[in-house]
Amino acid sequence: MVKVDINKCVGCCTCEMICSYHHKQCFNPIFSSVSINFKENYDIDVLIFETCDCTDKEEPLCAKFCPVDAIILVK
Amino acid sequence: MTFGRAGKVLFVNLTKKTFTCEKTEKYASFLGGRGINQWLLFNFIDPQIHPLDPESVIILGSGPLVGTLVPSANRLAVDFKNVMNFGIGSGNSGGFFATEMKLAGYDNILISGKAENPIYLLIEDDQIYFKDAKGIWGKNTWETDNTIRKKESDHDLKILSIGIAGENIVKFACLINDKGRAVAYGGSGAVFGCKNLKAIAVKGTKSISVYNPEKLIEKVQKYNEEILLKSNIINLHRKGGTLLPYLTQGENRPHAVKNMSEGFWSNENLEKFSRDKVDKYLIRRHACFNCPLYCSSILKLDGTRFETFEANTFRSYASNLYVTSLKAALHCHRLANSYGLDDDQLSAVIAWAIECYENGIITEKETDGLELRWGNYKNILLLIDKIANRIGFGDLLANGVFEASKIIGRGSEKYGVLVKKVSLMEAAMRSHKGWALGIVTSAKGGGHLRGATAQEFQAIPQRMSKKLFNIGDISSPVEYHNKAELVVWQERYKAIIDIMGVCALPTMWMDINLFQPEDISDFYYLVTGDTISTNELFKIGEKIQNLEKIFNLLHADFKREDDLPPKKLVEIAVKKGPYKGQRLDLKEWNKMLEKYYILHKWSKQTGIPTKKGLCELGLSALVNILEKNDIQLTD
Repeated sequence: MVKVDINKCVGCCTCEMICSYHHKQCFNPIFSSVSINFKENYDIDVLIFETCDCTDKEEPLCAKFCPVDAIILVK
Repeated sequence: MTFGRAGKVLFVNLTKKTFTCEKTEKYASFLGGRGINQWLLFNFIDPQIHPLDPESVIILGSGPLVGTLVPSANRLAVDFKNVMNFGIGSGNSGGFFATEMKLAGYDNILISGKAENPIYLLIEDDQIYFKDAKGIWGKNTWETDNTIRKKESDHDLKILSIGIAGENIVKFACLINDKGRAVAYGGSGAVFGCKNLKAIAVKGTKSISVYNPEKLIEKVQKYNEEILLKSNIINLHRKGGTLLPYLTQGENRPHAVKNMSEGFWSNENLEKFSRDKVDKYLIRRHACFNCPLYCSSILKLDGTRFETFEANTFRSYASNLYVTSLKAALHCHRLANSYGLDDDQLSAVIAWAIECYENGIITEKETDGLELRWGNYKNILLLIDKIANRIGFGDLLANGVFEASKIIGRGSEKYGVLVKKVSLMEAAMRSHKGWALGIVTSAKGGGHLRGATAQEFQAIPQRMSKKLFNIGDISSPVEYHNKAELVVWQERYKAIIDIMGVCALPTMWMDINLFQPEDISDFYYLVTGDTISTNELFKIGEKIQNLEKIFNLLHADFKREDDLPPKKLVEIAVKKGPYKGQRLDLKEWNKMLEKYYILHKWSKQTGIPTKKGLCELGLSALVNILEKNDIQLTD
C-alpha cells in the first residue's frame, strides 16, 4: 500500500496516470488506486483505494514518477 | 484502436443547441492541437464575419501527446478570430482541462453560434448538455468554477470559463481554466461572452491508449532523469516558478518599465519582488497536469487563495506600471484572474493611460476624477474594476489602446506601443533583436510565445547553433545577423510544440537540450505508432505558419508596415544598465525582415506568400483563394 504526503504533493496527478497504466496499461484516472482531489481552497485530498496492490518487492511506479518524492510504500 | 488521440472532433452549435462529431483522422495531416484548430478556423469562418458575430467560431484543441505521461504535455490550444485586430486570435493554457477533454473523447472542439440566453456546456463523455447559466452569469471565474461543480455534484469537473470581463465584452477578456490558468491572448473571453457561453465543464471517463506504453514509460523516465531534471533553468523553475529565473540577473537584464518607455529597473525595486518575498504568501507549490516543473504556486492574500505570481505578472503589474509594492501587484493579478482579463493588454492600456495623464494629454475630466500616476496602485486597482465592468473611463479602456487612442486623439496615439493594433507589454525588445523580430512578426499580434527567440538569453556557442539550428553565431543578442533564421526556426518549432500539446517552458526555447526535434519525433512514435521525421515535423510547422499568414491577409489585410516595430522602440534608447544605448534601427530591421520573408518563401517586398512556396507545402488550393480575393502573388 502507498501513502502520499499531502504536505509535499503539488497536485500534478502523474501518480494517477502511472497507476492506471500499472493496472490496465492505459491512461485513465478511474483505473487508478490513488485519487488526487482539489478542494475549493486548493487544498489537496488524497484517497488510496484497496485496489492498490503494490508491495515492498519493487518500488511502486507512482513513487518512481512523483516529481516531489511525496509517495512512500507502507505496510 | 486510436493511439494517443481521443479520436473525435466535436462541433457544437449554440444557436440550435445541437452537436455532431467527426473522426480526428479526417484532419490527420495537421496532427493535432493548434494545427487542427487553425485548419478548422481557416475553413469555418469567412473574412466578412466579425469576431463577435454568432457565425464566428472558437476552437479548443489538445494534442496527441496530452494525457500520455509525456512530461508537461497538458496544453490547451484555443484559436479564433482576434477581437482586437480581426487576424489570428490564439491562446494556450496549462492546467488540467485539455487532458479531461481527451478523457471525454475529444481532441478538438469547435463552438459556433450564439445561445439565446446565458448557458454553460456540460460535456460528460458522449453526452453534451446545454445548461442554463442563470445564477452563474455575473460570477467571477473562481466562483463560476466552484458553483458549477457544486451544482452538478461533481468535483472532478474541469472548467473553462469567463468572468465578468468576458460577459461585458472587454476586448481583451480571457478564458480561465482550472481557476488559475489563462488563455490570454486575442480576446477569447469576449468571444465566449458574445456567444452567451459562460463556461465549458468537462468530465471524461474514457481511456487514452498509447502504441507502446512500456517503451514510452521507459523513455519518459530516462528523459526526466537524464535531461529534464539536469537542466539548470528547469531547476530554477522548480525552485521558484518563472519569477525566479526572470529576476536572477536583477538590473543586469532588460525590463519593461513605464509602458515600455525604459528598460532599466534598479535592484532596489526588483528586491521587493524577489521569490522569498512572494513565498511569504505561499500556501503550497502547484503543478499543471503531469508536469515535473510544478512551477506554479497557490498564494493567500487577505484571506483569498489564488494561483501564482509569475514573471509575466511581475512585468504587468510591477515594472510596467512602476508599482513597487508586491502586495499591490498581487492584488492586481488577483483581480485580473478573477475578472478574466489578459495581463498584457490590461497592463498596457493602464500604462498608456498613465503615460497620457503624466504628459497632460488626458486629465481627471476623462479619468472619472482618478489621478493616474506611475506607481499609484490604489487608482490602478480602481481602474481594473472599471475596465472589467465597463464603467466610465474603464469603458473606453476596455476596447484597448488602439481604439481608445483614436477616440482621445490629441497625440495620445504616440504613447501606444502597438503592433497590428495590439499592445505590447514586453521586456528586452530594444536590445535582443531576434526576440523583437519574433514578437513583432507574431501572427497573433505580438506576444513572445511564437517566434520570439529566448535562445538569445542562453548564450549558445556557435558550434551548437550550427548543429541545432544550422545557422551561424547567435550568441550576441544585440546583433541583427542570423536572427531572421533563428526566428523562422523558432516559429516552426513552437508550432510543433503547440500541435503536440507540450508546454513552452521545458523546451529548446528555454534550454537547447530539452524536447529536441528527435525527442518529439520519438515520443510521437511511442504514443501514436506513427513515424514522423524531424523534417516532416518542421514542414508541418511551416504549413501552419503559412496558413496563419494567409488568414491574416484575408481577414485583417496586414501589410509589411505591420511587421515594423513600434516607434517607441526605434526612437527611445535604453538609458541605463548593460544595454544602455540600445534601440531598434529601422534600416537594420528592414534588412532582417527581408531575410525573414525570403526564408519563409514570401515576397521580400510585401511579405505575401509566393505561389511556389505554397505549392511546395501542398497548399496550392490557397493560391486560388488568395487570387479570388484580389491578393496578387508572385511566383
